[in-house]
Order: sequence, then C-alpha cells, then structure tokens
Amino acid sequence: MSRAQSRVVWGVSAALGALLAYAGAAKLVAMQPFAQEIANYRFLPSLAPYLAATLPGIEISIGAALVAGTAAWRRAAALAALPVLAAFTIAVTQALFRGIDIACGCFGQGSASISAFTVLRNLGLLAAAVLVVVATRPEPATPSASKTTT
Amino acid sequence: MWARALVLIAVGALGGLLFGAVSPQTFSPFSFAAATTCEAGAVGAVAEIGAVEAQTLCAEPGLVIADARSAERFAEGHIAAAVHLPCSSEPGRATALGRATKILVYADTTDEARPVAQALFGRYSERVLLLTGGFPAWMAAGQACASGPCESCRAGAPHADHPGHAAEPHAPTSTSSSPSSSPAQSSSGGAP
Repeated sequence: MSRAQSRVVWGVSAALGALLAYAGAAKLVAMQPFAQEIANYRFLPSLAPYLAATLPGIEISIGAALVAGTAAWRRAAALAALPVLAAFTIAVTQALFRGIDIACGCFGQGSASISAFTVLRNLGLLAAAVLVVVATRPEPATPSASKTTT
Repeated sequence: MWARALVLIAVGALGGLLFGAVSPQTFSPFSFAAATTCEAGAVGAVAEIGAVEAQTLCAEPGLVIADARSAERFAEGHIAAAVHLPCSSEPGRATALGRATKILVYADTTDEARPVAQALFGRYSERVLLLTGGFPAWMAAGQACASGPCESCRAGAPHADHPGHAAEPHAPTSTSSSPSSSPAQSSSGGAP
C-alpha cells in the first residue's frame, strides 16, 4: 500500500472515530432519554437500559482508538465497531419496515426521525469500518538489537 | 486483534456504567422503566406553564416557541421569535422541532393549543410545554411580541433556533419577527 493510500485509510479511520466519539458523548450525557429511544425501537426492549448504559462508553472508546490509536489499535477498534454499527443498522431497518416513526437517537436527544437516509448513513459507516480493518497494516516491529555507539 | 477489540468494548461498557452511576443525572439500568406511550395518542398530559414562568425559558438554548394559530393570526401578532407551527411541521421543516430541547406551544387560548400540544407530546414527550392563557396572557404579562409572517416558512429559508427573548414589553410592530429587529429586546443570557 502506498503512503498516500495509508493516509487516506488513516483519514477514514479518524473521521469514523470522531463521529463515533461525538455520538457516544451526546448519548452519555442523556442516558435516560437514550434508554427511552432504544425502547421505542421495540427491538429487544428489555435490553434498552443496559444498552443505554454501555453503548455510549463503547462508542467513545472505539472512537478514541480510531482517532489516536496505533495501527493495531485502530484495526481492533474498527473490528469492534462492526457489530455496533451492524446492530444500529438492523434496528433502524426493522423499525422502518414496521412503520415505527421514532427519533433515531443516533446523536443523543433531538436526533432526527429515522429514515432511509439513516440506513444508508449507517451502511456507509459500516463500509468505512470494513475498509479500516482490511487496509490498516500494523507498524513493522523494530529490530530488537540495540544500537551501540562508539 | 480480537483481544484488543474486546478490551475496547469492555473498557467502554464499564466506563459508561461508571459514568451513569456517578454523573449528576444518575442513570441505573436496573431501575429504568420505559414509558408506555400508545401508537395513537400519547399517554400522559402535556405540562402547562404560565406566561411569567415561561419567561425563564427564554434564556434556554434550544427553546422553540411554536404558534398553533392560523397564518393570518400569526402575522397580526405573535410571541417574539415564535415559529408558525403548521408550516414548521411540514416534512423538511420539522428539523427545528426535532432539535429543540423545549417546545412551548401556544394559541389564542389554552384549549385551542392543547390538542396541538398533545399531538406533539406523542412525538417529543416531556420537551413539549403548553402556555396557559395563550398569546393574550403573554401580552398581558408584558412579554416581548412581534408581528409579520413566519420567517422560517418562506421557501428555502433555513430556520434558526432563536430562544424567545422576553425583555421590555413593546407594542406589536409591522416589521419582521426576527428578534434582532426588535429594538426593545435585550439578551437574557444563555443564547447561543
């Protein structure tokens, strides 16, 4: 992979991470409404409070690693983001098919209603995460022999 | 790679649980009870608020004041920085309401605005407030008013979320309803 391509992949990783971190922070400060918004999806509603308590922190953790982590951690963060984003996409898609008109909850309180654009956006984020997993290469290990100077 | 991914998920989950436990707005997943709103019509009543008490909301960023009357009545006179609700509720213009942290609904009377507020309550729940006494009560309390058509209802005009500034009372003018064009208004602080 060329240097330019590596930079593009890093840029995608950073953008994805920044978005996830922002979304997580927005939910973190409003967990109660977020739990209600998850319950409104009527998709495993019994899990709503536990998801509301843990998802924001997970998003922030993944986002921070995508932005500031080493290549190995960025790759791992993108891998961790895949099931999270997939779950979001499935939840939104099933709500749309069932005709449930609800706020997305994607970026905390005041989020727009779910729509086809929400699904497309999540699919785009999934594609970005896949790209980071596939295209990020860990840094080569440094030689273990120490330099000696005279 | 898998181990690192699991570490990130575990650290994030524990961090979120800890934050929920120690933050000022404590949230415990074990004591949460989802509100059971019905598909047709909301369960629960819209909170009502008087004109004087509503003034304290004017400094709150994200406040949207929504006028539920006809366009003609809106143009004759309305609360400063209010949006005309029927127009603002159209698809594509509903983002202002979606972003609002508080939605203050009013009409000429409380009963006239109540069905509209209740309908909004089904979507936006506790963010919706009903102004008791309506526009006449607002004027009687000496709050800021304006006149003219709804700025956000003009084709393609983006809606700006201005909190309603309630300062010195002044008679309805024939100028636009933008808060910046009302000379008697002063910022009550907290506006973005």
